[in-house]
Formats: sequence, C-alpha cells, structure tokens
Amino acid sequence: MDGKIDLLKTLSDQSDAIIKHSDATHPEKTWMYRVTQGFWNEVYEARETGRPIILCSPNVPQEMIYAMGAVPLPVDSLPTRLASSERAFRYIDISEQYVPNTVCSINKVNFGTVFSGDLGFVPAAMVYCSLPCDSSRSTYPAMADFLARNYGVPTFVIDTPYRKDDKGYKYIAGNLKRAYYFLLDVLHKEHDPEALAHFLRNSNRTEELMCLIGDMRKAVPCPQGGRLLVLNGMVTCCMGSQYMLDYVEKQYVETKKLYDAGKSVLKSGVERYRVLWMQNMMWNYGSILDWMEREFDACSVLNGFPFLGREQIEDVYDDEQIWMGLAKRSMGSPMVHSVCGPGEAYTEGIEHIMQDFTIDVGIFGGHVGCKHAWAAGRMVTDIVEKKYGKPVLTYDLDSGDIRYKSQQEVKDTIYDFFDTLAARGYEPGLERMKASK
Amino acid sequence: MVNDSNAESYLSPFSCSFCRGCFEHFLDGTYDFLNGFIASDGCLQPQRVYDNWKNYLKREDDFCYQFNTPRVYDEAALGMYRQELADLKHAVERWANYVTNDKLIEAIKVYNETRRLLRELYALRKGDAPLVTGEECLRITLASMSMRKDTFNELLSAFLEEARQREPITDYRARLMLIGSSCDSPEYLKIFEDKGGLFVTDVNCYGSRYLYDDVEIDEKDPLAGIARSYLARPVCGRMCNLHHELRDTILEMAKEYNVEGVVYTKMKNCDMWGGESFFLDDAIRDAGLSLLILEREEITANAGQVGIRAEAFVEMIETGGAD
Repeated sequence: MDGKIDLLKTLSDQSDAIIKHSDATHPEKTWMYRVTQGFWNEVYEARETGRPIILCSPNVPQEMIYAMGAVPLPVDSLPTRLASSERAFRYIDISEQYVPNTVCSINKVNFGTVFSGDLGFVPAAMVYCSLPCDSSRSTYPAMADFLARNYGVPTFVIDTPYRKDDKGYKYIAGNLKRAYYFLLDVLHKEHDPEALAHFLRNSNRTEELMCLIGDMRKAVPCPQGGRLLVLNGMVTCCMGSQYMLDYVEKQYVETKKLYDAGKSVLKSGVERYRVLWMQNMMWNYGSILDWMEREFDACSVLNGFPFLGREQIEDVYDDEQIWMGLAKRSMGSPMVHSVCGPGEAYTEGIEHIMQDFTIDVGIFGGHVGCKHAWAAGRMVTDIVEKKYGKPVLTYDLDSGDIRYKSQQEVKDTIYDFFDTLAARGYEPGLERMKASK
Repeated sequence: MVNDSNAESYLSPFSCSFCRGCFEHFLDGTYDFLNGFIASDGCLQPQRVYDNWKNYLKREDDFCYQFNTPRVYDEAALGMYRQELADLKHAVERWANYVTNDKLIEAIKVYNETRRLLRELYALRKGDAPLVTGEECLRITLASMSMRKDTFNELLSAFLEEARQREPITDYRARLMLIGSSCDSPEYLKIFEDKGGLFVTDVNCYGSRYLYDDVEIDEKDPLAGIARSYLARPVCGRMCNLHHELRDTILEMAKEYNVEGVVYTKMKNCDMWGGESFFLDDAIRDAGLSLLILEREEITANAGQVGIRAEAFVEMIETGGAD
C-alpha cells in the first residue's frame, strides 16, 4: 500500500523523543511520559526479537498475556497515540473503504493499521471483547476475520454482557478463563500460577493507587490536572506491567505532595473553576487542558468515563477470585463501566462525581463516533445543569481525527464559554476562597 | 414516517434516525397505550431509547425490563441467554400472569404458524411471475409485528388464498433483494418498484429476519428451544461470530429467490450494518449479483435522488451492465 510506514518503530522512536524533549524542557514532568515509552518500546522490541504479540481490545486483562511471556497490544492504543497527528488520516481513509464515516475514528484507525500492514508483524493471536460499543463491534470482527483468513491468526471473542450484575460477572469470568486457556494453547504454554500472581500483584497495587489518587482528586483545590486524565488511559493498555506501576506510583507521590500541602496543581495556585469532562477525554487536543489551566485557572478534575481504580484480587492464587476479579475489572474499564450498559450506570456515575468532586462546570465535548454516549448526553447534562445548577458546555468534535474540527475551533468554543461565565459573574472558585477565609 | 426533531434533542443528531423516530412516538403520545417497555441490547442506540424513556417518560406503574442478549453464539452464551429468558419470564409473571410451559409451547406453536404462513407469503415471490410486491409484503410483515398472532394468522391465510388468484406481476425489469439496516418504510421499496424493480426477498429485520425459521419446540424446556432458535438466527452484524452465517443466509436467499440485484441500505449512524460491507460486498459481487449500497435515513426526504439511483440500478441489471 502507498505511504507504508513502520508504525511500531515510529511510535517507539517518538516516545523516546518525547522523553528527550521533556528532559530538556520540563524534566519534572518526564515521569508522565515514561509509561508510553515503556509500552511502545516493549511492543517494538517484541516484534524485533520475535516475542509473541497478542492483539487485543482494551478491556482484555493484560495480566494474563504478560504471564505467558507475550506482549499485549490493545489496538485502541494506536489511534489514541495518533489522534493528534496527520498520520491517522491514512488509516481512517483505508478504513472508510469498508466502514461508514460515522464509525468511531478510534475503530477506523484500528482497522486501518491492521489492514495497511504497517504494524509489520503477524500477531500470535487476537482476543477481543464484544464491548465497548457498536463501532468496535463492527471493526474488531472484521480485523479478526482479515487476520484469520490472510495469516491464519487464531481469534477468540470474550462476550461481555450488557448488564452489570453477578450473573454478568460470572458469565464474563467464564469467558475470560476460556480466553486464558485458549492463549495458553496457542502459545504452547502451561498455566504458571507464579507468573500470573506476579502480574496480578502489580495490577492490584496499580488499582489501589488509582483509587487513592482518585480520592485525592476530590480535594479542593485539586492536586492533579487534566493531562493525567488523558494519560491514565494507558492503564487499559498495559495493566500489570512494571512501567505502568512505576507511572502510577510516581503519580501518587506527586499528587500526595500537593494534597498534603493543600495546594492546587495550577501554577497560579488559584482554582477558579473545577471542570468535569462528561464524555471522552480529547485524545487529540490534550494540550487544551493545559491551556484551560493557564488561561482560566480551570482545573479538569475528572471525566465521565473515569479510571478510578477497580476491584482488588485478594488471593492471587485462587482461581475463582482471579477470574471474578478480572471480570469485574473488565466490566469496570473506562467506557465499559459508564456508557456501555444501561443508562443508569452513566447517570449514577455523573451523580457520584457531582456529589463527591465539587464540580463547578460540565463540558460535554462529545466525540462524534461515540453515538451511544451522545444519545445519553441529555440525561447527564440535565443532571449537572438542572439538578446541580451548574453550567454546561456541549459541543462536538472528533477526538481521533483532527480534520473534523481544528484545535483552534475547539479552543474558541471553550473560550467563549468561560468568557460568558466570567461576564455573568460566575466565580465559584473565588467564592469558595472567600468563604474559607 | 416521523418528524424526529424533538427526539433529536434527547438522542442527539449523531444517533440512528430509526431510533429517534421510535422515541418521537413516545414523546408525542403515540405509544401512550403501552403499559411497559422491555429493552434488549440489539445494538446500543435502541437502548438509549429505553434509557431516555425510563429517565423522562416512564409512568409509575409501567413495566420496564432490561434484557441482556449475548453477542456470540456458543454454549456459554446459550446458557446465559436461556437464563435471561427465565429471568424475563419471572419478571413478567410478577407483573402479570404465571407463564406455564404449556402456555409457552402453545405460543411457540402459534408463532410457528405465523412463520409458516410468512414463508408461504415469501414463496409467492419466488417464481418468474410473483404475486405480491416487496412493498406489499413489507406492509404485511409490519402488520404481523403489531397484532395478536392468532388474529394475524387468520387474516394472512385469507390473504394468501386471495393472492393466489391474482394476476401475476410480469412487467418488472429486475429482481431485487433488500438487505441492511432496519427498514420499516414500504414507501422506500415503492421507489424502486415504481422504477421497474421488484423486491422478491429480503434480509431485513422487518421482513424475513423477523419470523422465518421455526422455533424448535423443546417439550421439557421450551425456553431452551427458544434460546437455541433465536440466538443462532443471523439477523445483523451485532453477533460477533455469526458474520459468515449472515453472509451465507443472504447468498442462499438470493439464490433461492433468483435475485439479480441486491439493494444494501445503511441507516446513517448504524455501525452494525454499516460495517458489514467488509463481509458482504465482495461476496455478493462474486456471486454474480449486482449491488447498490445506499445510505438512508428514517425520513425519506430524498425520494427523488433515490429514484434516480434506483432507475439506474434497474437499467444496469436489465442491460447486463457492469456493477
């Protein structure tokens, strides 16, 4: 295909370059990018050394793949990495030969990267879940079929129930366990309880720290900013890995420092607005979150599909606890826990955030491909606006395709919104400060 | 045909217009006669119709139930599905009447009779000189969905007798098949039939995919019979491991009904049928069938444009032109 590139090498090199640049300009922030470096370097090195790579969807527990000595590559990690780049266009265009343009750009990029051959390897297997959404369900089976027909890649679908209850957890637990044994068979491995326990301990600690970080985000002022809400998406890509644990440990330490000191993450130290992003985070325009912090002293406290830490697996050798625990985590993955089930999950999640996180402003920056989230948009914006009386900004963008709406257009929309709030004298942060004095 | 502008303010313009149309009927009171809503996660957008209804419109006494349908077909999914059916049965029993196995089996028999009659209706379209149009057939299957089945069976039996005495349709120019996103608009089919095409079969939720193949009667466990029959039925791309079965169903029906051209409609924002092209387009063309892919909305506001495409497609088939 025209325009073919070595995508894994490019992303691996790019993540090294980010570290180098950060070391030179903002060394205090370099730790944030080490997780992406660790991930892309590992995938690239796996390909170069012949270590098996398992293509998967994000809510497939990565611990079980690491435990077999293989490397997981959740396909969704590619579009989020490419979201701000023109490189995504090639994959979206390839994809749109087969799927309509209304399919989520994340899935279109997934599809395109696999079809283009730019990954440069044949995965040992593909394992994917039947959620989070219709877009993924229209592209993952096609990718699996393509790989099976052209390269004989074995595939397994983990059916993910819509309802989130004990019956659903048991069902997916059984499916996860079958997926695990399917992979063992494909990789000619035996079940290694020690190896699995090691990665589960890592993920337990990661989840525990994420819970603690999530709790600290409730504090006023908020000790962490919006950039990490975007970067924390990596937890669905490499859960159980050492570099993920290192990243979260460092995040915990940095957050706790400010939390203990009662300080805001904002440079100005004054938190005028606490923002809730009610839909996906803007994968392509993460820098807008930094700009909002600088321009309006607006801190992005949380998002509507948050990663706040999930179930602990107390006994990492107990079969039932392992699979039920991983089942609950899979069902508790960002997006799956909120918008990929009955609407109550989404509305109740927003309710909890409104109750616990002292939110001043809601922004429904709706990714156009996330149609089922849009179709629940009024329910959640009504909670913020009508029940809690907080202003809400709603606009559309394509978080994976910068051709849809430019960064400047999005910034202009947000600027007008905060400008209006200020003009109307809406200053919740300043009022909180006055009240505390 | 529904003006869905009120529903759009709930479901957004980025949703499926069929679902918006459904919700509009809840908003405008058309469905006020209903006493409840059972939702099944066919795809995620109709779910939001249910969610918005429950959030904004549900009355205190309305029955509401969320049914969970697996997205793969295998033994584990069958077990889950059967359990879901049992849970639904119990919920209905708590709300209304006790559902015995005998009653279930009796209902399956009545529905199977509907299926048999609908297959007879479809059979009237198989020969070179069909007796019913696609538009007419769709009107009948739509009626079957909103009537008591025993009443419908009587009416359809009478219709079949009458239809067999009709003058056959011989002036058509191309035998067509409708596939794709839910199409409950007979007017849409009429656009093609006015241009000389004739729909002789379909793979449409409101056509053959509704009630076609019999449900197995399992005397000991009727729910298990229902589960096996319904879950294995290829309906649309929602089932992750039945894409090949759906493709084969389309090709087999096309062969059985001597189809020349397939009209594949994709509702805007329907990811399930939208993405099915990967599995279908080449297979349809390789089978020697002409293929027309059209994006559509629930409101057929572009009938003139569709008519031009339809006319060209019919002419292409008639003249043996390349797809």
